[in-house]
Amino acid sequence: MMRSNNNSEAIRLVNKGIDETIEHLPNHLIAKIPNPEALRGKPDPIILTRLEAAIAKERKAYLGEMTKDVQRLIDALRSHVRPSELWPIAHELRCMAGTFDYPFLTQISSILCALIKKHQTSSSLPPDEADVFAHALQRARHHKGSIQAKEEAVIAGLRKVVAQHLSRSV
Amino acid sequence: MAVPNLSALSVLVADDSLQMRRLLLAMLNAIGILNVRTAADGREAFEAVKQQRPDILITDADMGHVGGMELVRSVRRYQEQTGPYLPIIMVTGHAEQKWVEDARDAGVDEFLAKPISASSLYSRVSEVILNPRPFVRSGDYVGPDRRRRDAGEYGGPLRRQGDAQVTGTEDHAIQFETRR
Repeated sequence: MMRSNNNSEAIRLVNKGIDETIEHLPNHLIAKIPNPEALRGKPDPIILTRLEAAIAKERKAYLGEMTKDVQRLIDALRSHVRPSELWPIAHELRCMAGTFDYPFLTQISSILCALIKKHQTSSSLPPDEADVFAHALQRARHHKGSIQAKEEAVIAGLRKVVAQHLSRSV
Repeated sequence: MAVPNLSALSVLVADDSLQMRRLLLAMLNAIGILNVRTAADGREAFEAVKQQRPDILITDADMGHVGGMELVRSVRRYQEQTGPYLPIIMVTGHAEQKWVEDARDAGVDEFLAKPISASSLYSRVSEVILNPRPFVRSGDYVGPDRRRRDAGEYGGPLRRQGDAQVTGTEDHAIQFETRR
Protein backbone atom coordinates (compact mmCIF):
# COMPACT_ATOMS: atom_id res chain seq x y z
CA MET A 1 0.00 0.00 0.00
CA MET A 2 1.32 3.46 -0.89
CA ARG A 3 1.54 6.45 1.33
CA SER A 4 2.03 9.82 -0.24
CA ASN A 5 1.59 12.88 1.90
CA ASN A 6 1.43 16.48 0.78
CA ASN A 7 4.91 17.28 -0.40
CA SER A 8 6.55 13.92 -0.35
CA GLU A 9 6.95 11.50 -3.19
CA ALA A 10 6.91 7.79 -2.65
CA ILE A 11 8.17 5.08 -4.92
CA ARG A 12 7.36 1.44 -4.34
CA LEU A 13 9.86 -1.11 -5.51
CA VAL A 14 9.45 -4.82 -5.74
CA ASN A 15 12.93 -5.94 -6.50
CA LYS A 16 14.60 -9.27 -5.84
CA GLY A 17 11.60 -10.26 -3.79
CA ILE A 18 11.94 -7.25 -1.46
CA ASP A 19 8.99 -4.92 -1.29
CA GLU A 20 10.19 -1.47 -0.25
CA THR A 21 8.85 2.05 -0.29
CA ILE A 22 11.19 4.96 -0.88
CA GLU A 23 9.92 8.34 0.22
CA HIS A 24 11.44 11.67 -0.69
CA LEU A 25 10.25 13.71 2.26
CA PRO A 26 10.09 17.51 2.37
CA ASN A 27 13.32 19.00 3.75
CA HIS A 28 12.11 20.55 7.00
CA LEU A 29 15.61 21.41 8.16
CA ILE A 30 16.61 23.54 5.21
CA ALA A 31 13.34 25.43 5.58
CA LYS A 32 14.48 26.55 9.03
CA ILE A 33 17.67 28.16 7.74
CA PRO A 34 17.39 31.64 6.21
CA ASN A 35 20.61 31.27 4.21
CA PRO A 36 21.18 27.54 3.54
CA GLU A 37 23.51 28.28 0.62
CA ALA A 38 26.06 29.40 3.22
CA LEU A 39 26.37 25.75 4.29
CA ARG A 40 27.71 24.66 0.92
CA GLY A 41 31.44 24.26 0.48
CA LYS A 42 34.04 24.92 3.11
CA PRO A 43 33.00 26.55 6.38
CA ASP A 44 33.45 30.28 6.73
CA PRO A 45 36.73 31.20 8.50
CA ILE A 46 34.67 32.83 11.25
CA ILE A 47 32.97 29.49 11.96
CA LEU A 48 36.28 27.62 11.90
CA THR A 49 37.84 30.10 14.30
CA ARG A 50 34.88 29.71 16.68
CA LEU A 51 35.06 25.93 16.44
CA GLU A 52 38.80 25.82 17.07
CA ALA A 53 38.36 28.16 20.05
CA ALA A 54 35.62 25.92 21.47
CA ILE A 55 37.83 22.83 21.10
CA ALA A 56 40.82 24.62 22.66
CA LYS A 57 38.73 25.70 25.65
CA GLU A 58 37.42 22.18 26.22
CA ARG A 59 40.90 20.74 25.77
CA LYS A 60 42.25 23.02 28.47
CA ALA A 61 39.39 22.11 30.79
CA TYR A 62 39.84 18.39 30.13
CA LEU A 63 43.60 17.90 30.36
CA GLY A 64 43.68 18.37 34.15
CA GLU A 65 40.89 15.83 34.44
CA MET A 66 42.65 13.44 32.10
CA THR A 67 45.79 13.34 34.26
CA LYS A 68 43.62 12.51 37.29
CA ASP A 69 41.66 9.90 35.31
CA VAL A 70 44.83 8.11 34.22
CA GLN A 71 46.08 7.95 37.80
CA ARG A 72 42.66 6.77 39.05
CA LEU A 73 42.65 4.05 36.41
CA ILE A 74 46.17 2.89 37.27
CA ASP A 75 45.29 2.80 40.99
CA ALA A 76 42.04 0.97 40.29
CA LEU A 77 43.80 -1.63 38.13
CA ARG A 78 46.43 -2.22 40.80
CA SER A 79 43.87 -2.57 43.57
CA HIS A 80 41.80 -5.02 41.49
CA VAL A 81 38.48 -3.22 41.76
CA ARG A 82 35.37 -4.53 40.02
CA PRO A 83 35.42 -4.18 36.21
CA SER A 84 32.18 -2.18 36.40
CA GLU A 85 34.08 0.48 38.36
CA LEU A 86 36.91 0.55 35.83
CA TRP A 87 34.59 0.97 32.85
CA PRO A 88 33.55 4.64 33.24
CA ILE A 89 37.15 5.82 33.61
CA ALA A 90 38.54 3.69 30.78
CA HIS A 91 35.62 4.57 28.50
CA GLU A 92 36.02 8.30 29.16
CA LEU A 93 39.73 8.11 28.37
CA ARG A 94 39.06 6.15 25.20
CA CYS A 95 36.55 8.78 24.06
CA MET A 96 38.44 11.90 24.93
CA ALA A 97 42.20 11.40 24.94
CA GLY A 98 42.43 10.98 21.16
CA THR A 99 40.27 14.03 20.55
CA PHE A 100 42.79 16.09 22.47
CA ASP A 101 45.84 14.64 20.78
CA TYR A 102 46.67 11.76 23.11
CA PRO A 103 46.05 8.84 20.71
CA PHE A 104 48.37 6.44 22.57
CA LEU A 105 46.23 6.71 25.71
CA THR A 106 43.09 6.26 23.62
CA GLN A 107 44.45 3.09 22.02
CA ILE A 108 45.44 1.57 25.35
CA SER A 109 42.12 2.40 27.00
CA SER A 110 40.24 1.09 23.98
CA ILE A 111 41.92 -2.33 24.29
CA LEU A 112 41.34 -2.21 28.03
CA CYS A 113 37.63 -1.52 27.41
CA ALA A 114 37.44 -4.70 25.32
CA LEU A 115 38.91 -6.69 28.20
CA ILE A 116 36.58 -5.05 30.74
CA LYS A 117 33.55 -5.83 28.57
CA LYS A 118 34.44 -9.52 28.61
CA HIS A 119 34.67 -9.40 32.40
CA GLN A 120 31.73 -7.16 33.19
CA THR A 121 30.16 -9.69 35.52
CA SER A 122 33.46 -10.76 37.16
CA SER A 123 34.65 -9.53 40.54
CA SER A 124 37.92 -8.25 39.06
CA LEU A 125 40.11 -8.36 35.98
CA PRO A 126 42.71 -11.13 35.81
CA PRO A 127 45.62 -9.74 37.88
CA ASP A 128 48.42 -10.27 35.36
CA GLU A 129 46.51 -8.53 32.58
CA ALA A 130 45.48 -5.71 34.92
CA ASP A 131 49.12 -5.12 35.84
CA VAL A 132 50.18 -5.04 32.19
CA PHE A 133 47.61 -2.33 31.49
CA ALA A 134 48.58 -0.34 34.58
CA HIS A 135 52.18 -0.42 33.40
CA ALA A 136 51.23 0.64 29.86
CA LEU A 137 49.12 3.54 31.14
CA GLN A 138 51.98 4.67 33.38
CA ARG A 139 54.20 4.80 30.32
CA ALA A 140 51.62 6.50 28.07
CA ARG A 141 50.32 9.13 30.47
CA HIS A 142 52.39 11.99 29.07
CA HIS A 143 52.61 10.79 25.49
CA LYS A 144 51.14 13.41 23.24
CA GLY A 145 50.87 13.34 19.45
CA SER A 146 51.27 10.68 16.83
CA ILE A 147 52.07 7.08 17.61
CA GLN A 148 55.53 5.86 16.63
CA ALA A 149 57.02 2.39 16.31
CA LYS A 150 57.70 2.01 20.06
CA GLU A 151 54.11 2.84 20.93
CA GLU A 152 52.83 0.60 18.12
CA ALA A 153 54.76 -2.25 19.71
CA VAL A 154 53.11 -1.63 23.08
CA ILE A 155 49.66 -1.55 21.45
CA ALA A 156 50.36 -4.77 19.55
CA GLY A 157 51.59 -6.37 22.77
CA LEU A 158 48.43 -5.41 24.65
CA ARG A 159 46.23 -6.72 21.85
CA LYS A 160 48.14 -9.99 21.99
CA VAL A 161 47.78 -10.23 25.77
CA VAL A 162 44.01 -9.69 25.53
CA ALA A 163 43.63 -12.09 22.60
CA GLN A 164 45.58 -14.80 24.44
CA HIS A 165 43.56 -14.27 27.58
CA LEU A 166 40.28 -14.47 25.68
CA SER A 167 41.34 -17.61 23.82
CA ARG A 168 42.16 -19.24 27.19
CA SER A 169 38.82 -18.15 28.63
CA VAL A 170 36.73 -19.62 25.80
CA MET B 1 31.62 32.74 2.11
CA ALA B 2 29.00 33.55 4.70
CA VAL B 3 27.99 32.34 8.11
CA PRO B 4 24.89 30.12 7.97
CA ASN B 5 22.15 31.02 10.41
CA LEU B 6 21.42 27.75 12.23
CA SER B 7 19.77 29.32 15.27
CA ALA B 8 16.36 27.76 14.58
CA LEU B 9 17.72 24.20 14.69
CA SER B 10 17.65 21.96 17.74
CA VAL B 11 20.05 19.08 18.33
CA LEU B 12 20.02 16.23 20.82
CA VAL B 13 23.43 14.85 21.82
CA ALA B 14 23.49 11.37 23.36
CA ASP B 15 26.77 10.29 24.89
CA ASP B 16 27.66 8.63 28.17
CA SER B 17 30.90 10.59 28.31
CA LEU B 18 30.39 13.88 30.13
CA GLN B 19 33.43 15.39 28.44
CA MET B 20 32.22 14.38 24.99
CA ARG B 21 28.79 15.88 25.68
CA ARG B 22 30.48 19.09 26.76
CA LEU B 23 32.69 19.16 23.69
CA LEU B 24 29.85 18.53 21.23
CA LEU B 25 27.67 21.11 22.96
CA ALA B 26 30.45 23.71 22.72
CA MET B 27 31.13 22.88 19.06
CA LEU B 28 27.45 23.02 18.08
CA ASN B 29 27.11 26.35 19.87
CA ALA B 30 30.14 27.56 17.93
CA ILE B 31 28.46 26.85 14.60
CA GLY B 32 25.36 28.70 15.74
CA ILE B 33 23.13 25.89 17.02
CA LEU B 34 22.19 27.13 20.45
CA ASN B 35 19.30 24.81 21.20
CA VAL B 36 21.28 21.73 22.21
CA ARG B 37 20.01 19.15 24.71
CA THR B 38 22.07 16.27 26.04
CA ALA B 39 21.34 12.75 27.25
CA ALA B 40 23.67 10.38 29.08
CA ASP B 41 22.37 7.10 27.68
CA GLY B 42 20.15 5.62 25.00
CA ARG B 43 17.07 5.35 27.20
CA GLU B 44 17.20 9.01 28.24
CA ALA B 45 17.85 10.00 24.63
CA PHE B 46 14.87 8.04 23.31
CA GLU B 47 12.57 9.78 25.79
CA ALA B 48 14.03 13.13 24.73
CA VAL B 49 13.40 12.30 21.06
CA LYS B 50 9.75 11.61 21.85
CA GLN B 51 9.26 14.64 24.09
CA GLN B 52 11.42 17.31 22.49
CA ARG B 53 11.42 16.27 18.84
CA PRO B 54 14.91 17.55 17.97
CA ASP B 55 15.87 18.34 14.38
CA ILE B 56 19.06 16.26 14.48
CA LEU B 57 20.24 13.46 16.78
CA ILE B 58 23.97 12.99 17.38
CA THR B 59 24.65 9.78 19.26
CA ASP B 60 27.67 7.88 20.46
CA ALA B 61 27.84 4.32 19.15
CA ASP B 62 29.09 2.62 22.26
CA MET B 63 27.22 3.75 25.35
CA GLY B 64 27.02 1.75 28.54
CA HIS B 65 23.38 0.85 29.27
CA VAL B 66 21.25 1.38 26.17
CA GLY B 67 23.78 1.81 23.36
CA GLY B 68 23.75 3.89 20.22
CA MET B 69 22.65 1.07 17.90
CA GLU B 70 19.68 0.22 20.09
CA LEU B 71 18.76 3.89 20.30
CA VAL B 72 18.82 4.28 16.52
CA ARG B 73 16.65 1.17 16.02
CA SER B 74 14.17 2.41 18.63
CA VAL B 75 13.96 5.83 17.01
CA ARG B 76 13.42 4.37 13.55
CA ARG B 77 10.72 1.98 14.79
CA TYR B 78 9.03 4.83 16.63
CA GLN B 79 9.18 7.15 13.64
CA GLU B 80 7.77 4.54 11.33
CA GLN B 81 4.46 5.26 13.01
CA THR B 82 4.85 8.90 13.97
CA GLY B 83 7.27 10.64 11.62
CA PRO B 84 8.82 13.02 10.91
CA TYR B 85 12.10 11.61 9.80
CA LEU B 86 14.99 12.46 12.16
CA PRO B 87 18.53 12.64 10.74
CA ILE B 88 20.96 10.69 12.93
CA ILE B 89 24.72 11.21 13.06
CA MET B 90 26.64 8.47 14.86
CA VAL B 91 29.88 9.32 16.62
CA THR B 92 32.22 6.37 16.74
CA GLY B 93 35.78 5.41 17.45
CA HIS B 94 35.21 2.15 15.60
CA ALA B 95 36.37 2.19 12.00
CA GLU B 96 35.76 -1.50 11.38
CA GLN B 97 33.55 -2.35 8.41
CA LYS B 98 31.28 -4.50 10.60
CA TRP B 99 30.45 -1.53 12.85
CA VAL B 100 29.72 0.70 9.88
CA GLU B 101 27.45 -1.93 8.32
CA ASP B 102 25.60 -2.54 11.59
CA ALA B 103 25.06 1.18 12.05
CA ARG B 104 23.79 1.60 8.50
CA ASP B 105 21.42 -1.32 8.99
CA ALA B 106 20.16 0.26 12.20
CA GLY B 107 19.30 3.46 10.29
CA VAL B 108 22.20 5.90 10.75
CA ASP B 109 22.53 8.74 8.22
CA GLU B 110 26.12 9.86 8.75
CA PHE B 111 29.20 8.87 10.73
CA LEU B 112 31.46 11.14 12.71
CA ALA B 113 34.76 9.45 13.48
CA LYS B 114 36.69 10.16 16.65
CA PRO B 115 38.74 12.17 17.19
CA ILE B 116 36.22 14.80 16.20
CA SER B 117 37.58 17.79 14.32
CA ALA B 118 36.04 21.17 13.59
CA SER B 119 35.60 20.43 9.90
CA SER B 120 34.28 16.88 10.36
CA LEU B 121 31.43 17.97 12.64
CA TYR B 122 30.55 20.87 10.38
CA SER B 123 30.52 18.73 7.25
CA ARG B 124 28.26 16.04 8.79
CA VAL B 125 25.77 18.61 10.04
CA SER B 126 25.78 20.33 6.63
CA GLU B 127 25.28 17.00 4.89
CA VAL B 128 22.14 16.01 6.81
CA ILE B 129 20.67 19.47 6.23
CA LEU B 130 21.54 19.90 2.56
CA ASN B 131 21.34 16.31 1.31
CA PRO B 132 18.80 14.35 3.34
CA ARG B 133 18.51 10.75 2.26
CA PRO B 134 15.24 9.33 0.99
CA PHE B 135 13.37 7.36 3.64
CA VAL B 136 12.99 3.64 3.04
CA ARG B 137 10.42 1.25 4.49
CA SER B 138 10.83 -2.43 3.75
CA GLY B 139 10.07 -5.64 5.57
CA ASP B 140 12.99 -5.55 7.95
CA TYR B 141 14.25 -1.99 7.61
CA VAL B 142 13.01 1.51 8.28
CA GLY B 143 15.40 4.41 7.85
CA PRO B 144 17.47 6.43 5.41
CA ASP B 145 18.30 4.91 2.05
CA ARG B 146 21.41 2.83 2.61
CA ARG B 147 22.56 3.18 -0.99
CA ARG B 148 25.21 5.82 -0.68
CA ARG B 149 24.78 8.49 -3.33
CA ASP B 150 23.55 8.50 -6.91
CA ALA B 151 26.49 8.26 -9.26
CA GLY B 152 24.51 10.38 -11.69
CA GLU B 153 21.35 9.86 -13.64
CA TYR B 154 21.44 6.91 -15.98
CA GLY B 155 18.99 7.21 -18.81
CA GLY B 156 19.70 3.98 -20.64
CA PRO B 157 17.96 0.62 -20.59
CA LEU B 158 18.18 -1.68 -17.55
CA ARG B 159 20.00 -4.80 -18.68
CA ARG B 160 20.87 -6.67 -15.51
CA GLN B 161 18.71 -9.55 -14.46
CA GLY B 162 18.07 -8.03 -11.03
CA ASP B 163 17.20 -4.57 -12.37
CA ALA B 164 13.79 -3.22 -11.52
CA GLN B 165 11.32 -2.48 -14.30
CA VAL B 166 8.47 0.03 -14.30
CA THR B 167 5.15 -1.72 -14.80
CA GLY B 168 2.59 0.90 -13.85
CA THR B 169 1.87 4.05 -11.90
CA GLU B 170 -0.65 4.94 -9.28
CA ASP B 171 -0.99 8.26 -7.45
CA HIS B 172 2.63 9.35 -6.73
CA ALA B 173 3.70 5.76 -6.75
CA ILE B 174 5.55 3.76 -9.32
CA GLN B 175 5.26 0.02 -9.16
CA PHE B 176 8.40 -1.88 -10.04
CA GLU B 177 8.73 -5.58 -10.50
CA THR B 178 11.78 -7.73 -10.93
CA ARG B 179 12.60 -8.89 -14.43
CA ARG B 180 12.42 -12.57 -15.04
